[in-house]
Amino acid sequence: MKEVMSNQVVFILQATSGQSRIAPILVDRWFSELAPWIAVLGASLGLLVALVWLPRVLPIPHADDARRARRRVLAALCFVVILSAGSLLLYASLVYSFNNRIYPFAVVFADVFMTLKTFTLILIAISSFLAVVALCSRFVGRRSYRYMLIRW
Amino acid sequence: MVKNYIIAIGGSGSRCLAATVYLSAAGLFDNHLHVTIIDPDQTNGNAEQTRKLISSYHALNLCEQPARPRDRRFFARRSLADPAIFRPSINRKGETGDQYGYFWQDPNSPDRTFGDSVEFVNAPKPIKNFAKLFYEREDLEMPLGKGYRGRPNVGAVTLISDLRRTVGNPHSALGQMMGSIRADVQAERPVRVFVYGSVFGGTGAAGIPSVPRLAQDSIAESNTTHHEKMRFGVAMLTPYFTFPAGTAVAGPAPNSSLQQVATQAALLHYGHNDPGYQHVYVIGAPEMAPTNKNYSIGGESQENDPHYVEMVASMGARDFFMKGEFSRNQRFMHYVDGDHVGWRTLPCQSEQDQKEVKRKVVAFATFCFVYKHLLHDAVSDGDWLRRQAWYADNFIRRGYTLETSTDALNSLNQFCDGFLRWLEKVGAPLAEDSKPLFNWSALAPGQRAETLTGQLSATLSSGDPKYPKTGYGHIMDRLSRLTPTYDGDVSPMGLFIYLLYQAVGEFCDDNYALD
Repeated sequence: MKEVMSNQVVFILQATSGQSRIAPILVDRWFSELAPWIAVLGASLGLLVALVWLPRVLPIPHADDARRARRRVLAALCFVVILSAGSLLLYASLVYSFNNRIYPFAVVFADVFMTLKTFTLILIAISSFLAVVALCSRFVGRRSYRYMLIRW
Repeated sequence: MVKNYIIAIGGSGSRCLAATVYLSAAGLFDNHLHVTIIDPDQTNGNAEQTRKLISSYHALNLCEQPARPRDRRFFARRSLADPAIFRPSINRKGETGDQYGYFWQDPNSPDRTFGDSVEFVNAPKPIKNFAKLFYEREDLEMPLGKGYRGRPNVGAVTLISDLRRTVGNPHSALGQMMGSIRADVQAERPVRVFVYGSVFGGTGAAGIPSVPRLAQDSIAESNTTHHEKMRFGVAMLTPYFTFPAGTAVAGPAPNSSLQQVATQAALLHYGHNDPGYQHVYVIGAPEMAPTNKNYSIGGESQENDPHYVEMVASMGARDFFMKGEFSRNQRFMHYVDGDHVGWRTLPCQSEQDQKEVKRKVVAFATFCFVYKHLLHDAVSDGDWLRRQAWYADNFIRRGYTLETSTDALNSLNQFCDGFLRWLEKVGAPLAEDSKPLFNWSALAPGQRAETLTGQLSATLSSGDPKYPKTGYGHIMDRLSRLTPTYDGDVSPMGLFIYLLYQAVGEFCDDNYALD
């Protein structure tokens, strides 16, 4: 069993090294093309959470509503990270064509997904999500948790 | 400032007055009230409870609530409802925080007997013999300190003379009330006086015919020609409660089995001798409920439970005060003959008024329920309070604090507790009613307050409420959205009362489809 697994790892590494790498300039272009869209995705999810999910946080006796809402935002944030990362990976491996060529999943994973660019994209999604949630929760609807992220 | 006058006679009258104070707190009375309790039983438990209640109400009435409140949403302003609860003052002296007296102080010794009051010993023999035709020896030897013990023939003679002796004293509650009536009459303001009293006991039955005479004589003495503007209404309470039979009581004593006979006699007497009321509300109950586990001839131990009849009597007073003009010589009798006590059988001006009554009573009950069971402890916790958005916006940013209003918060808590207990007892005889005014079982103090907040009543069409389980959340959500601007000064407590009631009112309109 151990032998079989190590053989597979060797095969994957060989396969990766056997493929041509994705040029960094293509990754940069991928990043620039996707950055606005990932921001929109984060903002859309933020809007959805702020206008649909958070308002379902109704006050309960003796509780800190802002803390309860923050917990909900944190849970939504985890979902945003997973969703944006997954979307980026799938998009890069299945849809996006780097220089009119579809690369194998392992290549995309190593050369595109596991780069600082992807982390930056995820950070953009997080930032836009949090910005929209913070602004909406503070200024739309005057809910009980409106000071959870912006305290003024 | 138009004032309405209420005189509560005896223990039942005191309990009706308590109902009036609660309904006033709920916003059902528009004009300021001047009230007096008349009870020769000076330590009567029911009267004592009502006196404490009036004092507690007065403290909350003094909390200044916002004037002309309005709210801004999306650059548009909307007017908010004016403050509705704890609004009419009770016995307030002008704009000061002082109160006129509201309890008639009997100047006599509690050991004085009926014989003493009519100076029977010094009377000539023919008069003595004449009196003996109408009064038994026990009557003549009966001490009057605990009321007239179901003997209106004793009370009718004694009460009017005792009242006449105090009515001219400007320092007595009755003298102050007459002074206020006199001032209104001289200013040609309409004066309406409403009297609560039972016709099946001693004090009420004796006092009911005495009041119009006393008031008119008192005003006529001031040489004004306007006393024709005075109008009188009365809630005559017919038997509606029972109490255990007494044992080992010397002399005459109240007996609930004689109430029906006493009522017939009293009504027959009033039928032949017009007591002078333009509007008479005859109110009783088809089934008499026990309101006291112990027998009491009077005094501190006479603390009967509230009954819905007292609430109906209080609604009668409201109806009387809201009526349009009527002449001094007109006579109206009001009664409801039905098998059901519901929102539609309470004395109201119109169908719209019935809805308004339900809206206000349900909203006030919800207000008390939420404050008493869910908010009082939390509001007393400064940390919790400072984390609330509504508190940050309406209090901290405007330089107010509730943290120094501990006494007022405790007063509100006690008042709310009293109201909920009162309402629960009012509903006790109606527990089996198919269309109850309230979900009586939910009013009992106890668990699950959070989930019961939205289930205190039914919709106008007896349907289910919209938010049966999440009432508290929806109320606090609405409270969080309120950041009104307003004119004039407010007290932190007045502002808190206003905001909470506004949120509760909006919730009740939505939850019970009341608007």
